[in-house]
Amino acid sequence: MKTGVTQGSDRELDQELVRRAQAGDQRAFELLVMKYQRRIARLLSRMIRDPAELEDVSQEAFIKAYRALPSFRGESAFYTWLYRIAINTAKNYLASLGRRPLMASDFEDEDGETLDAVAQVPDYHTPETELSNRQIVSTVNEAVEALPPDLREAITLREMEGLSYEDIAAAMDCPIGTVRSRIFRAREAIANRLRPLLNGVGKDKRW
Amino acid sequence: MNEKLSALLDNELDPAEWAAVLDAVKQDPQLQQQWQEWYIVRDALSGHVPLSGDFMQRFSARLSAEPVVIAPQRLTAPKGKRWLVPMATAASVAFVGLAVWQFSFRPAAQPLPQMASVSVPAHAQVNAAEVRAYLAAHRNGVADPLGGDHLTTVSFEVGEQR
Amino acid sequence: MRRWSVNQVSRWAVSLLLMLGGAAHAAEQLDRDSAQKLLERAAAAAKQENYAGTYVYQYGDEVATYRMIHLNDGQLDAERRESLDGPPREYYRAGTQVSIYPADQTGGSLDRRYTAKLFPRQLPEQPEKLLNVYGIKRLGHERVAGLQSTVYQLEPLDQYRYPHRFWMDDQSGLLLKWIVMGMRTEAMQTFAFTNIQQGGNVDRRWLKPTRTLQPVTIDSSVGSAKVAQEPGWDIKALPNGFRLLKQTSKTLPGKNRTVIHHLYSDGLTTVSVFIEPYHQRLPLGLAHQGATHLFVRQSGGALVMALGEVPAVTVEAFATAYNAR
Repeated sequence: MKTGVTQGSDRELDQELVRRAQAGDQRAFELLVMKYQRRIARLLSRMIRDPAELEDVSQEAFIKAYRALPSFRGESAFYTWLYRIAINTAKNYLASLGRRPLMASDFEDEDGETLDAVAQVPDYHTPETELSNRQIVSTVNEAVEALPPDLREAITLREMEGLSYEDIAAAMDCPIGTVRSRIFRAREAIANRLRPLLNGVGKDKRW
Repeated sequence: MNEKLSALLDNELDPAEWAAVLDAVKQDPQLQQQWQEWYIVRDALSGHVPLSGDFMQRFSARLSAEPVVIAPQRLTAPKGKRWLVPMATAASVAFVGLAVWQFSFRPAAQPLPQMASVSVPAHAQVNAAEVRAYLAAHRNGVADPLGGDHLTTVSFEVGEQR
Repeated sequence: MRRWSVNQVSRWAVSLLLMLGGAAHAAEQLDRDSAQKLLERAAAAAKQENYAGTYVYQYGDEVATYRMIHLNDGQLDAERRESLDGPPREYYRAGTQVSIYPADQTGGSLDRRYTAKLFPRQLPEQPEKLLNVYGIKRLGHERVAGLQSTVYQLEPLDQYRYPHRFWMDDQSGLLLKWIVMGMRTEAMQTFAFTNIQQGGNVDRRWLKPTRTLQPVTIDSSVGSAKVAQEPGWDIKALPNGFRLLKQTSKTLPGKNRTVIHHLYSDGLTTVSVFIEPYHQRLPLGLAHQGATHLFVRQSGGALVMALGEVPAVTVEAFATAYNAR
């Protein structure tokens, strides 16, 4: 690699976190939950419409994943494994209520990326949720807009276009270290704007 | 360290440095918060819906109740939630049977808990059997001998459907 | 409370929109006289005609199919119903005598007035009072179970109840389909014939039960009190059109306390009010299951709960009308 930086993949990072969790580090597992909670909830929202129920089942899925951690051997990506547990948790939940899960065939897909198809699915959320979502999404977008151009471009290329630091450096004609710094500063600036919204419900008091 | 954490999120950190960063995160609530916020930002930009602001808090509370020692074990069946009470008695004239009731309650006037909401609404949960007996009585009152069973299969929850 | 696939949901939503929206467009309000004649015709057809068929009952995402036959030779008014899905169940009625399979283990009883009120016979025979609180619109024409029918809607005249939509066989006047709608005019409950034979085509042998049925106790003691009388309680005005059907005091299954139960009906839908000593097993406030609502409040040392397939304002109005003296 031109840069000389040896990158670890996302999958390897997840496995490192799993390894830590398997060794008894619950915080490491929480980092995975923080990372994947919205994707899992989004996934399950196809089966469970009620927002409160959806969050309960999502939590249940993560707890089940935690309990099943010893069985995670890393043959598949953590998300793929988590995905199956989440689907099964939701199916069992619906079955326990006497409801039939209805999209069984869609769920056998193991490629986490195909989940992006979910993005086309209309959300089943209450108006209040929509409002809150819009607020967070619009705050994030506004924060991105308000960034200095260099920071804005870097974070946009990273988060919207998914470019690597190397590609961003090439696109912006600057060193990789600068890209890394710009992205970090962009994140800080966005998070500062977002924090009041998140803090409204007590910024995860345990933390 | 913060900048390294940011790079870690982007898979742009040398794995040799991971241990140091992750150890630091484990110790430092501020870094944990950044991890959380940055993922919210990432997900918001890619259209993933934020969850309730107390999602992590509730999850952490549950997680801390889990045994930490990780021993080989099989995936266990889900523990029935308290409010998922199997239909017990009611197989009456109305054939109120078979189903499971779920009854989760929130004070009527409050919106669902949102990330951006100001307070966390109380979320009380109710023994479903409590409600079921009344429903059975209500439906027996009108004697729906064949249709009644279905009425029990749908979950009861608090809401504003006005 | 439906949990359907997105495709199903959107298809369902689209067809519902087409159906509800499109039909409502051409709606024509019936005057009260025609409305009354119409309801009387549907009630009379369900009572007098011979018919047999299969109907689907849907509530939320639950669907079940039943086969039924109704015969009325002028002497005997009899019917038999049988579930076709899930565990076998049978219901047989001859006059006011009802037997069922499997036997009722709980010693419950059926209110006599309702033994013959199952689909498609749920309309009151004297619909005048119903028309104090509902109007009728003609929405259009549609085929149901292979028959040409006209679609009508019972529109609530106030906020206390939901619309009902029904499809009436143009020839016989029999109800072929009935939808109870929720507050967003979504289908909450649907009864619909998928096939039906009428008149001479009905195979009378099918009336004979196929299982050993157990007779059900019929409760004919039900009074017809106009106003609920409950010592120690002040009952204020209730939503218009609801009349007291019965007033009982009983121990609910699985409960060891006595609960007072007042059952009200507006002719199409019912509301129950329960009164019992205060306890904390039920949270105060409003809850709903789909379009079924529940409202719990405390009054004095008592707990009052109103429950019914009605909007939130209705259960709230019922619950708040009851006040401990």
